[in-house]
Amino acid sequence: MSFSYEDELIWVGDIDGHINLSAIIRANEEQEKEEALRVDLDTVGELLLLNGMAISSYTVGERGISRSEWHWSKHKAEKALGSSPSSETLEHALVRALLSLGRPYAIARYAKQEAVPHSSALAASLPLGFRALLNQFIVGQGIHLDQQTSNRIGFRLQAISNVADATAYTRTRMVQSLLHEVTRDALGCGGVESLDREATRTTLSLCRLHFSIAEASLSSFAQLSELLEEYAEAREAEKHRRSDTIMMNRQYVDNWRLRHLFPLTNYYPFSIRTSLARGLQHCAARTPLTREVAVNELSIAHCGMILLRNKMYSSVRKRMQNESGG
Amino acid sequence: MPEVHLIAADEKSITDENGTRSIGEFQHMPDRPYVTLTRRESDNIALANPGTRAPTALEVRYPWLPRRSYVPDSAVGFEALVQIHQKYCRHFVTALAHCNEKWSTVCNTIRQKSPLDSRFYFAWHTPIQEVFALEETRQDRCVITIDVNAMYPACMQSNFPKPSSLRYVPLAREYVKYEPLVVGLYRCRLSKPSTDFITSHNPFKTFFCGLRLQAPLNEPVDVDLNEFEIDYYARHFDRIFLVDAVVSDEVIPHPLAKEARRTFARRLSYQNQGNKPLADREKFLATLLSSCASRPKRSMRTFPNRIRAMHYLRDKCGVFPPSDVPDVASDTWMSRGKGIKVTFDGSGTTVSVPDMSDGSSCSLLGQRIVARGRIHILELMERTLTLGNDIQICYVNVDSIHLSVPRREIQEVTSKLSAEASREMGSFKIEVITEHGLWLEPGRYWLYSDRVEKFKNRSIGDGINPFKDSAFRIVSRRVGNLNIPIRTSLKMTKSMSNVRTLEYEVDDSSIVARQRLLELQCTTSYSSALKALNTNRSVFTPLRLKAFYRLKANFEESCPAASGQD
Repeated sequence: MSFSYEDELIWVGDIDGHINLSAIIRANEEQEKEEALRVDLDTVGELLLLNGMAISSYTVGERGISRSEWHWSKHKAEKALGSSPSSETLEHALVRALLSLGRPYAIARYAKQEAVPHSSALAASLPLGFRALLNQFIVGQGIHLDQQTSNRIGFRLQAISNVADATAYTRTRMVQSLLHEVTRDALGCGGVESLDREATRTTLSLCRLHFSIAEASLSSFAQLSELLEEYAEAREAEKHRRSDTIMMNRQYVDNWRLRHLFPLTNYYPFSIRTSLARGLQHCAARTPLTREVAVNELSIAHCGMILLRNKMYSSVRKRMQNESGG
Repeated sequence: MPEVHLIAADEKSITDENGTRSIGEFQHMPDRPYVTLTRRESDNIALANPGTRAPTALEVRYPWLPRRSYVPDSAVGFEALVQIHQKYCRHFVTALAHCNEKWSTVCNTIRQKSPLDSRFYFAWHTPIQEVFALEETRQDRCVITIDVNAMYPACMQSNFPKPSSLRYVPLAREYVKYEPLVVGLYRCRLSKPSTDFITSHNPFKTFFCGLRLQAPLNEPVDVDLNEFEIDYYARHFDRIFLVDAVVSDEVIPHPLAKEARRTFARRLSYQNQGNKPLADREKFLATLLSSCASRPKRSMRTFPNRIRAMHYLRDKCGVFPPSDVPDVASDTWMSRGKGIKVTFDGSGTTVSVPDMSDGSSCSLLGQRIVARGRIHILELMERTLTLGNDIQICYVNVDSIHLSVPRREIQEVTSKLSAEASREMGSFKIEVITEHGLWLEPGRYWLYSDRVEKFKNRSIGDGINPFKDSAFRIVSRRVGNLNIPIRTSLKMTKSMSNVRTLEYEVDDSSIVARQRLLELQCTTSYSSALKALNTNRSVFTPLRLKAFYRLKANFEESCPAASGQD
């Protein structure tokens, strides 16, 4: 996707880093556009979905999905759901499949919004990748990583991962403190100030991604509901917080923290987010999950990804045509 | 010989020529080519130093080395590594280096090739790999396994068309039975199958979305066949129509034919001396000989438009997915990169195809070797069926055949086989005779009597525990400039192929399951093919797996030692 206006980077003291305000605005705009393309769901249609909703296959065709694409989607859905003997394992398979389907897209979108290289974001999504990135950052700041420090970092990261009921944002703050500690020990009192701003920002951003991915690897709608509640509570708490100090020479952005208190699912493609939303309602109403509904939901999600890919193909094509002068 | 730095590891430490230290120190060591003995040591180092390039393992690079178990003590491991290295380092030649050297020999002999050689690249290049039975549990039968000795080196001993004098011949006529054909590759249309053998052991395959399914014999079979293959299939089809051909009036021996014979002789000699590692090494090097001429360079082109990319693929390689296959399904298999590779990113659609106009490969050599191998094994299959009254072929994989024989005929069959068997290249030997067998798919079988005598479980089996059904691997993924280790687990239940159905027939008093590859008629639509694959996945594959777990349970309850469990 090509963007017409310059990406501004604004310094924000809260996290010791720059943010890409234009990207946030753009993301919100995109979301609104997607809302406008909302699929017509009603309760009358032969493809039953979660929460008592349904869609007609006619509508699926209208959206641009061919018959063979629908069959392919169903095939993938059946395969992902496997044999799943019980309602519980079915939900497990469905939630995991939905979350892993949208994850690569979410990672790419996060990387773009946070202005971190896509390759680093991919690295951060791998369990051992973040550790590699962290090591790379520390060494890059001129801090010698001896075995003792390495072990210390290892233990602390493990402890941070094990903290219960903490959002990725909170865990990132803990990692930030750890980094400051390590820096102070190695480079003395002025060490923290001497850290490269941009590299630190990138690393902490990747840290938040790493923890966001870990906390969004769930296997039931109930767990997803808990995650969203945690973030909702954190946002509530944030609204009532008042900052006691004003940083000199840095721009003040309204509700800065608030913008970052969202789980990874917020970066997911719209079609998967709506599936998850329906799932949450379905779970709240304690309706049992049938295989037919699970297969339909996952198939619809795959169709949504097909449409997304087609959009990407055509936008790349248009951009290349513009670049080469038509 | 390139320099290597030896290093050993356990869970916590590494040992090299400078002594033992903590495993985390590896990331501070200078970036040089390190080697460990076992894969597990290399994995330990990778996991403890994420980001750093892990050492390669000697046992992976040279699979012929004698197996040494991993020891959880890096100092001891280092001693073992130094010993093995000292003993065998002068025999270390990587697969790549060996292939490159032999390819030079091929080039110096052949010198030139005709562009028509590319037709061989696109011709049938897979060996016979088929499973016909699921299990043989009947008390009144036995399973005999025969293996061909050095099949591909034997196939290299026949004649090949001279690559520089290939010419195109339009034919458009029927093949007359037993007419002598000029050496070359003929585009044929086979119809009217005339023997039971070809109907029940149909080797022809067709392509569907990255899978190879059965080409049905009730429709004409369009296939490129070498002249000796036509001779063979003429006995099994009443009508062969020749469309056109690429032939040569001159023939040459394979440039590496002598080398193959020498390698085989060396192998026998090492075997006689009791030197298993070096005998295995000769076998390993021999397998490389038949494929060193088939590694074409690749050319890449990027297109802004997917349609243009697909047209390019069609013009260059003749690959064009049928109209009822959705783009997303084709993209999945085309991005895997076997042969052709199509990927999509921000710069457009990139197509990577082998460059046939480049002199970096000579396809006719490899294709004809594999073709000879197919005919060799098909003829052997036919012969074995005549050895007794009720012989059934259970499993065939490239150069080995598993037969089910009635117990009362076992003596007769074995003596007939033994009379023909020998240690010579191209002949076969009786590998093992067992009471029962279980075959899930090519590369997955268990042959047993009171204990498991022989088994294979591709990607999962370690040669020690017959009923191991999952494997853990550490793979390295390079992201940016970091080498990130990823723990992957491969479960048999998730890696079974879904292209086979089960059919049940009544044989005497028992019900026997036969495996059948899915057939793809030309009238089969995309969605019905998907449906059939789905049925296999949800119904038949679980049944096949059940047979495995039943066998596993039987062994574990009756004799834990025989099952490999402690």
